[in-house]
Amino acid sequence: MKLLVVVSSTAALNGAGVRIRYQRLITPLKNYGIQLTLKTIEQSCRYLPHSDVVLISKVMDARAAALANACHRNGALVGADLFDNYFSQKTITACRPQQRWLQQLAPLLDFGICSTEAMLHVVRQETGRLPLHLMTDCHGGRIRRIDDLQQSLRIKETSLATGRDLNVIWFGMGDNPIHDAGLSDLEQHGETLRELESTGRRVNLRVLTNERALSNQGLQKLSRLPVRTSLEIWDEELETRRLLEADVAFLPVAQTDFSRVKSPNRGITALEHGCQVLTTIDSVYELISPFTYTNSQTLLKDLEAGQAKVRIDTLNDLTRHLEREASTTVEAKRMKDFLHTLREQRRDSPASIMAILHGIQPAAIRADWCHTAGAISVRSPLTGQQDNDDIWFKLNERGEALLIIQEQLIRDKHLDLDRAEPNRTISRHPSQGLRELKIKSMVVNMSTATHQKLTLAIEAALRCRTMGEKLTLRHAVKQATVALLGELIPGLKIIDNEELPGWA
Amino acid sequence: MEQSGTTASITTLHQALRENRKADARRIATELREAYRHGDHPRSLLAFIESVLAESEGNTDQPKTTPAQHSQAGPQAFQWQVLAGANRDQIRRALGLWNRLVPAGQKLCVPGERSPAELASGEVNAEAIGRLLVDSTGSLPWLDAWYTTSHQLRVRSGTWDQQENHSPPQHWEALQWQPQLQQLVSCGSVNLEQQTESLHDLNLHHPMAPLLLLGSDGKGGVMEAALLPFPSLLRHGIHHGEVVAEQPSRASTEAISSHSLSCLLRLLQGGWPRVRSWTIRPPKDCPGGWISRASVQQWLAQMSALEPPPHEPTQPELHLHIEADGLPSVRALTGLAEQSEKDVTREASFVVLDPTHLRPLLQIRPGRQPEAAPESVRVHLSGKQKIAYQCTETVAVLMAGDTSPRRRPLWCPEDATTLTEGIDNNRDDDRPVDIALTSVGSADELQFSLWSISQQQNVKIDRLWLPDLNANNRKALERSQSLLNLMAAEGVSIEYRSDENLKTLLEDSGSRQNHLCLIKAGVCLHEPATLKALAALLRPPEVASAGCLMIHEHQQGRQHTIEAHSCGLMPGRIEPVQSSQLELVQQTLVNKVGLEDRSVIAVLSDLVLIEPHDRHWNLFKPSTTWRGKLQEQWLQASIGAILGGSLHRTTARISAHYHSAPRADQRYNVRVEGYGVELASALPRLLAASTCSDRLKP
Repeated sequence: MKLLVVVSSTAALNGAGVRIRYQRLITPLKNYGIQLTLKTIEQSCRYLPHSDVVLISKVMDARAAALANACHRNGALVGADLFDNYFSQKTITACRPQQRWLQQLAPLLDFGICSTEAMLHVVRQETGRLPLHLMTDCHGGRIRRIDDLQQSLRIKETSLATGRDLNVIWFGMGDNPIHDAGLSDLEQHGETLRELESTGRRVNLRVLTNERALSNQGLQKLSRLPVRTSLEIWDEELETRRLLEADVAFLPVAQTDFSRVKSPNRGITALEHGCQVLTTIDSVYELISPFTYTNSQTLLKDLEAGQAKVRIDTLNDLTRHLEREASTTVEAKRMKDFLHTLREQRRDSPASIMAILHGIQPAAIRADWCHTAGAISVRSPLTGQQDNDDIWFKLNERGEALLIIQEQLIRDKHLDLDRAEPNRTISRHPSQGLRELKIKSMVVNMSTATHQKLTLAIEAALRCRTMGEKLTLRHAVKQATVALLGELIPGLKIIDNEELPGWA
Repeated sequence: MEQSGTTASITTLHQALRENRKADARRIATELREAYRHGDHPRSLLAFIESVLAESEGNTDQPKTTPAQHSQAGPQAFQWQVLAGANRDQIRRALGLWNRLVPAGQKLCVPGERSPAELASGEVNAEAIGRLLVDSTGSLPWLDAWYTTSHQLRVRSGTWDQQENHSPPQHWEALQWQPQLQQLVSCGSVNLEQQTESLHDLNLHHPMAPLLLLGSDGKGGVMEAALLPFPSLLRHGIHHGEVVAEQPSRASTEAISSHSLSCLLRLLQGGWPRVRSWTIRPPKDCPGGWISRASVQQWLAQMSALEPPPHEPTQPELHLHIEADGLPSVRALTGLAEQSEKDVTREASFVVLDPTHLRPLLQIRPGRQPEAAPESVRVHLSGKQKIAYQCTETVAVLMAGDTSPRRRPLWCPEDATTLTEGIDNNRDDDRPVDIALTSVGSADELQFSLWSISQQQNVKIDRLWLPDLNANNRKALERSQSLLNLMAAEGVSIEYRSDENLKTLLEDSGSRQNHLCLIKAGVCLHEPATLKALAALLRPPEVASAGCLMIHEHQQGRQHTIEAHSCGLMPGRIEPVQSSQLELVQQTLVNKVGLEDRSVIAVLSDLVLIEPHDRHWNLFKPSTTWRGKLQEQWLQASIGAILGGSLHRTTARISAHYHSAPRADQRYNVRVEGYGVELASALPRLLAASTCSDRLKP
């Protein structure tokens, strides 16, 4: 069985998330006859014919739906890996695009994957009967190198016994585009770090995080921490080095819907490097709870007594525990079973004719990509600059709105444009392969007044300059565009790519 | 050397040290230094090896402490004595005050005395207590202090002067009670220099707990004592905002001292109602909030447990409700002044802080809310039998948190679906709207305003009134003619009218029981639920008009920014009123508090939905002075409505924008006349009808 995992970009391909979640599974899955390949969404379409199962990971735009549709055409099972909770908080305006994304995508999916029970529960609320599978983040294999681990623990134990410093590390994403998480959690629980100094030790906190998080606000949060803090930009190698030096990984968790469902992978990584894990609530790190602390005083007491939960004496227990709860072998087998059952039960779902409708903000979806995915690329009159799209709008020299359509599309979909504009003065641009339809003379199944209003809205939209103007017209324009597309291509499924990230 | 051998040697070094085998330790350390010369090893380990070698070579610059010492090294109990020439009474009084402020701690005695120090009843007065507190007038030359981290205070101290027959303390030790150790422990000290001012850092064990300061000769002999009862009132402290709000015209340190003293006196005198319990509900999506911090919980519990001296009157207990991430103020926890306003104001006064720097942003003073809008009250106090307690003093500090543009874009503060969820679209009392465009503006302004009106959903637009055609506006109207025709085809009656008389507009709409909406050309209701949301604000019978957050965009090249322009008008300078003029200023910061519905003195006539019923507008007498000036007529009418008992409401849940940037920071001077009252007597009523927001200047 060939499993294609599709991620959003080359940067994501090289990121920690992909390494922890998918790369660790490649070999174990191979042992069960599943060949896992990782590709970016840009490359993905070429690999569809050779894939049995496609897993979409964090492609948060209309391409996800178009790819899912293409999978149906190719007879591949398609699923999405959903691991950040943007879905349950209906009151945060900024989460709406992600919520709409899931609403649009879910009906096109055969399955969903989550990394925690809590997230599984959230997704179940949103997607109803979609089959879901829990795939826990696994350990990185370091835990099996007992000698190395023993040595680093020995160094840490000696250093603790002989010095008065306590090396604490916080690592991870310091910010989130929407939620208060990362450095906020650290700041919120800063006094726990101060408590670690209550027996006279001096805490040296190392923060390893992404550069974007170090905004004015992010730095302010760090500067309020009550212990000595040093700051470094995260990279994988540095993370390993610093974890090997650290006595304690401090991983506070906020009691928010977003943070509560997160994966315990940072805790697992810290344990694999011989760090004690200090957190603030049990739920996220429940999987590894026999080896974590939620109370700074208990941790201190254990450290001073040489009886910390992660120590040379307990290494075997730790290894056994992680092999049981977070092992790639176990997860690979469960994944294989899930996919096989799914394939046995599958029903063919027909692919639809799909169009991606660009909104006010043109997203980074190239028309070429849409074509390889078999989707129609439509620029709304508000999108602006055209890029080899199948359908777009413009004003002629007399200020009348025109709908421009690619000849290729007319041929492929057998469109009857004579029906759409019988008395037309259609301009043919055979050299460019384009045809123009005058919107006000199109034959449409709506009242004259509605048709006039639609034409007016598109004309006004094509003259818009500011964001305010575009926003004022966006409802009218969306209605108009959807109505016109429906007239031209019966049965068309429109995926609205109106993401609104730049509104703030 | 093998890797495993190296690590084993560290253990053996450790053993050698523990068993005090110095020669062995030195030999192992020398070997280790060689082995560790290459490769990446923890710095602390290398430093440790170096320190072993340094000590064995007789160099004790870096004293090495043994493991056993570390484990018990924590903060030490502070030992002290009183010097022979010291002011023993003053020290006794300071300790007496301390014993009252830290009831959970061990009661302190003056060294050499047996019974804990107590504050005598005659000593609870401003002069006696003031002398015990740390401030610039006390004996400690403490010029300024501020928080640098959550637990560190930086103190700027003055100089030390040797006087002829009296030598003041040169060394001040700052102490806090450590509940885990049940000890008084040192947070650091302030050493005064003779020539220069200096900075000193105090590392607090608890960020909000009182500090005892003992002035000594530097050898443990104490000469004086002083107290800092509420450190969180200092700059960058969580409670500094209440100082700025309550003592706006004073210099920082002076304001802090006087506020501390006043709070402390109310606590000690008894009889002042004060907050003893609270319900604080931070928004669900904010990470915990201040109330979830252990230090805050400890401090609040300690503050609420404080009692006035036994012979003083007891303090009526209040309960504080905060629907936000916030905390009770020091003032609320120590004693609040009684109010005797007639109008019922359910909301209490609070200060909003920038959550990043804890810098105070604005003060919200209580105003009247419609009876039927309980959800918009963020902070309120209740006394016995849950009766609302009225108070204008700052009772809480709140974080402006859940409204950052990243989470709440100004274009759509609340998502359209969430916004309309609470509004029943099929209510019988939904009324048609008459829209009066109060100007024509440019062709573009008019066109986009009209588009936005035509997009309004779930509301019936009955009539659209446009200013009469003239040479100036003909061109603009022509450009929008097709759209107007379409609106007419959809059943909107389009009328041109020459008069700009508000009274006539009100009467005309009122006669059909329609709502009246004033819109200035260029104002765009970009959200189709805008009119519906404003109509929902008008439902309570006492609400006369409703508006929303007005924004505008700047575009410079590719740079695109959105700014809040106004959320209605609030009183500007409120000084002793001689003239009959009231200054009104735009308030733009209310949206920082949250998604709020608030009362204002007037909504801007640029966009307002009006309930034209005569009960609100019967005091409004149109004067010829304002003929043709709709803005002035509207402000007069709004003030008249308030004096008649009505309210004006704005919401930050929804925004409308200006097509072209409006004039920034406009101020309006309104004459309050013709209502049969002087401004001085009308002012309290006007203020009470506005949940004022004052910008604070820390």
